[in-house]
Amino acid sequence: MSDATVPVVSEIEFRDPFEVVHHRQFRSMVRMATALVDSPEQAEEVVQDAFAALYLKYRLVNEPVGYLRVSVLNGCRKVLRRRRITRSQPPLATEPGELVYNHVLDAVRRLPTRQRNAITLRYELQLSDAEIADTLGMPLGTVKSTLHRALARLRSEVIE
Amino acid sequence: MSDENNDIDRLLQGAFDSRPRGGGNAPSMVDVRSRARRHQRRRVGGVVGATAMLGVSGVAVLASRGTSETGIAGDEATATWTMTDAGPMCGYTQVVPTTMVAFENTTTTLWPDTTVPFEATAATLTDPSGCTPSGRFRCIGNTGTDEQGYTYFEYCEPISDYPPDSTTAAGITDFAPVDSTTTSTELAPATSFLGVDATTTTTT
Repeated sequence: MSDATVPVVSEIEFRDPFEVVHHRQFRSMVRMATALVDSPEQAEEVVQDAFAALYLKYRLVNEPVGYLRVSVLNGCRKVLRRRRITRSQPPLATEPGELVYNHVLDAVRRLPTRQRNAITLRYELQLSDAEIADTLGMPLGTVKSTLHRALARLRSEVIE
Repeated sequence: MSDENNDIDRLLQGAFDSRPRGGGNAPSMVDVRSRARRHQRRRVGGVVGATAMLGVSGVAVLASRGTSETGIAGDEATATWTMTDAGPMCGYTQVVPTTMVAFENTTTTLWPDTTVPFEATAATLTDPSGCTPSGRFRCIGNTGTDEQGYTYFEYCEPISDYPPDSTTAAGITDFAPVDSTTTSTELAPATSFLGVDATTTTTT
């Protein structure tokens, strides 16, 4: 059977526009959430909850992906807050395949929450400064200075 | 400096890219839908609970008024109803007797003058499919807008033969209607006030 005859799973098969967004964004959102909460299981929970919230409001939301990003970020914040309250230590990255210690990601994990969020959005989702500002609800200048400080801190920890 | 920037940039990009793609778990739409239903049930449950509290306190207030000076008898009260035309709305649960209804894109017309007996026992508005039927409703009680932008009322009931657009009477009906048989009695002028004889006048 040639490649041309193989049925391609395309977005046309998803008749519901919500399903298209879910299909396109699920994995990247899970990756972003995992980078923030360090646990793939919790990340998936957060992302599914965010999709459930979006599902209820899909017709009313102008920019579903932006809404989703903010929902996931807020969900991650909630997880981290709960974790701080219960004083349990964040589990070290337990993603399958990530058995090798990565000192760069470990340095990112030690950043303050705001800096960590900004770095994750930049390097995981490849967002621009303006998009990060929209997602985090910050002025553009604050995003730039936050990223600058985060990079300076990472440089001092990782390179020097 | 820019070399250092490039270095850390490259390191970070490499570190994030090196994370596993995690393509094993297929996203489940069934799970999303069931979560959404659970979220909505929780949210509506909270609203209905709060509304039930309001309803209980409202009934208590009405009852106290009924036994005191207002003369409201039994389950009949005068009130202002809001007429609303609403389309079908699914996914909202209705609770009897305290009913919360949410409508999308409602066009509401306030009838400030209508005097309608308040029926404490509300009929459920939910049809077997779980959807609120479309049509004209009269609604009463606290209103609000939920986070989806829907207008909701404390209580609504479907109407079919309500008189249309008769907005001639004025004002909200007084809770204490004047008894036409009551006549005022003119009292005699007081002769003393706070122990002082009113008939004593001081002139300067």
